[in-house]
Amino acid sequence: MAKVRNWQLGRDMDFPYTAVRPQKQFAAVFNINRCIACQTCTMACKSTWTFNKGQEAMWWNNVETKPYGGYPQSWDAKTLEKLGPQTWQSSIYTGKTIFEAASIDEVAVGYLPEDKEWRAPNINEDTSTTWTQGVELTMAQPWHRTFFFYLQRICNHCTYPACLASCPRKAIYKRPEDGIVLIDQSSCRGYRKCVENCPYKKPMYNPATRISEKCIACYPRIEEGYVTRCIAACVGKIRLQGWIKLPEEAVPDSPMDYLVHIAKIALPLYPQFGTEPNVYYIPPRWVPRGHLAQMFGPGVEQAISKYTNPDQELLGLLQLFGTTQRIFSKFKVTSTDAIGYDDSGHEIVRVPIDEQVIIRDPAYLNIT
Amino acid sequence: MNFQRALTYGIVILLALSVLATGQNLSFVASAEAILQSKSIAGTVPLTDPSSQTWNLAPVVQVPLNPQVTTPPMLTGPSIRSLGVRSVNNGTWIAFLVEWSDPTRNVTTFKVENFRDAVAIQFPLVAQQPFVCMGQLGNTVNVLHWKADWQEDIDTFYHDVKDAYPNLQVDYYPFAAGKPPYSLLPVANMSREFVAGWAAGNPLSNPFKLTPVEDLVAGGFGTLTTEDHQDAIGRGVWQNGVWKVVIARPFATGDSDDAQFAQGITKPVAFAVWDGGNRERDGTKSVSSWLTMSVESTTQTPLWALVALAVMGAVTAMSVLLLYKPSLRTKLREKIRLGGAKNNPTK
Repeated sequence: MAKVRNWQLGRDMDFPYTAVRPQKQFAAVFNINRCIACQTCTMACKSTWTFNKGQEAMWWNNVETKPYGGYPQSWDAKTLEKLGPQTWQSSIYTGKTIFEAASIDEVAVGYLPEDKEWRAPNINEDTSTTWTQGVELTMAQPWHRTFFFYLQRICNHCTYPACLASCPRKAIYKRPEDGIVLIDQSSCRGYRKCVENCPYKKPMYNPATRISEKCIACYPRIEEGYVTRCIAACVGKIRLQGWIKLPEEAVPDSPMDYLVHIAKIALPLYPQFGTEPNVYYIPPRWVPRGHLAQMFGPGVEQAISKYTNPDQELLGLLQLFGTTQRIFSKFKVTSTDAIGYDDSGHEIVRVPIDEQVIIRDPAYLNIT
Repeated sequence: MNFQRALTYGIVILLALSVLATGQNLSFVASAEAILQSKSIAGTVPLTDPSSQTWNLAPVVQVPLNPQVTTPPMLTGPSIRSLGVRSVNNGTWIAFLVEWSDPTRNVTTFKVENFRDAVAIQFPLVAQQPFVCMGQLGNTVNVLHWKADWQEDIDTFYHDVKDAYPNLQVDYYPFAAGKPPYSLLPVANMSREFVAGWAAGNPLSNPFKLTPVEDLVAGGFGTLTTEDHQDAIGRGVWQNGVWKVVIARPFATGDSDDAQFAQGITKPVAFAVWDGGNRERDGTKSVSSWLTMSVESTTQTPLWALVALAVMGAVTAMSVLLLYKPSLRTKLREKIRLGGAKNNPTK
């Protein structure tokens, strides 16, 4: 085991390979507050990549209702249970990661979900927690006693992928040019260690080809400068894709760096797993903070506070979500507009921060 | 009949039986030490028949197995602890019959929790013995890997999701032929392009299986690679809790990634077995250490046989002398009596 730095844990951790960060790292921010679980992202992915034999129950993108939904069922609770106590001291994780909690005969703690656990991807849809007090809202707390929220999930294209670490064949690789994690379909032998050890359960077994497959971050689109299908198709405009750097290298006009490292409103999902996932979530404002802290780490309070009271720059950037199919690597917010630019500084997209209100001339009212 | 005569007749009968047995290629005693003798036989090698009578000509070697605990994923807990192995050859083909007890017959892989039963034979590709666990870089090994799910595909045609869920309803698969539940076979050419593993040329994803035994080469953990030339065949049958698997190969293949055989040679050999019911795959397996395999020759008489023949000849000559030379017999009896008295202080 090598010692690698995991900035999400605020410390070094054990990993089977030495750290080699890619030239650019794929990242995305999902705004949970905006999601309506229409599953358009899910179908966009399905109709692009997983429509064939053996992929019937395979959903590289899924949206599940938390806290009870899960694809596969209870994937997070089962792994958390194996991890033991997950403690933080301010922003430093003092518990064990999946690699550190592993016994000598395995690379990481994990479990292999059985076929039936993958068969109901939207189980417990819209199921809320029990209403115990008879009063749904209290004045003292800004969150609801009874709650549910939607969690949008794709592969996290982790900096320290457990699937890659646990593959005995080294058939999984992280691309140096964009950090996308892929399973080599020609050398996978269907051992399913990736399915067992990925804590997010995003590698999936294909019973027709008898090997495993996973989300490929739509790399043929990314290579051409386009965002993934799930991000492009999102009608709620909850998703934004870009490139992320380390906190100390954060570039203020990079949308990902700004949201994650500077405004700090977007947080990794279950950072305590230790894989340094690269999909970040703006946590839902109406959910009890303890629940959110377990899912997104110690930055929850600050993230929600900032998101609830955004400044002009943050407000502008939030307006740019879902406005273009092109990946914009830089952004600028003026008093009126939010603008996205590509790598060479060409303007890709421009949206007004306040939409102009136009009142139709009564002569042209559409009344029949 | 007196003692001497009984002794003499006994020796003669034993000799006659031995000569008969040698002529019939029969073996009375199984090898007690871990030397696997590939018995030379005349005629056809049972390449795909685990129940052929020919196997009775070869001695069984019990190969002890240990759980693989060198590298993760490891095998923890009890599993298969020994294999019975025989081998025969006819100078052109060499075949192995591997038998082991396994109460569960695991031949499908169409659910994520399904793992296959399997067995593998490993030979070094270098003169010395490589590291027994998959060899090392530069010290490569040749692995012949029999898979129960490949066998099932060959025996009862290709299996997939429709076998796991006969009532599964899917509206459409691109370019699939036929009606629901669609099969990968028969297919239009284009449909292959949408089956990623198959399109990428992965032999595990190819629904057209020609042999249940995969011919592979390895040089260290995680380097197992399917060879371009597939040279092994075989067949496995599970009955009453026992797998009997034949793995066979031509002596010479002309492939530098294959171990080459010839009569009269010895070669290290190792075995591994997987119990699919215990979710064993990859390094989660039971393994043997290196054994020595000697490939018996038909054309050359080995030295031990010549010595045995000489001893037999001498004993026969002595017996004849004892029978027909009474004077010699009396002398010998005297000697035995005296010797007996000498060794018994009470007389």
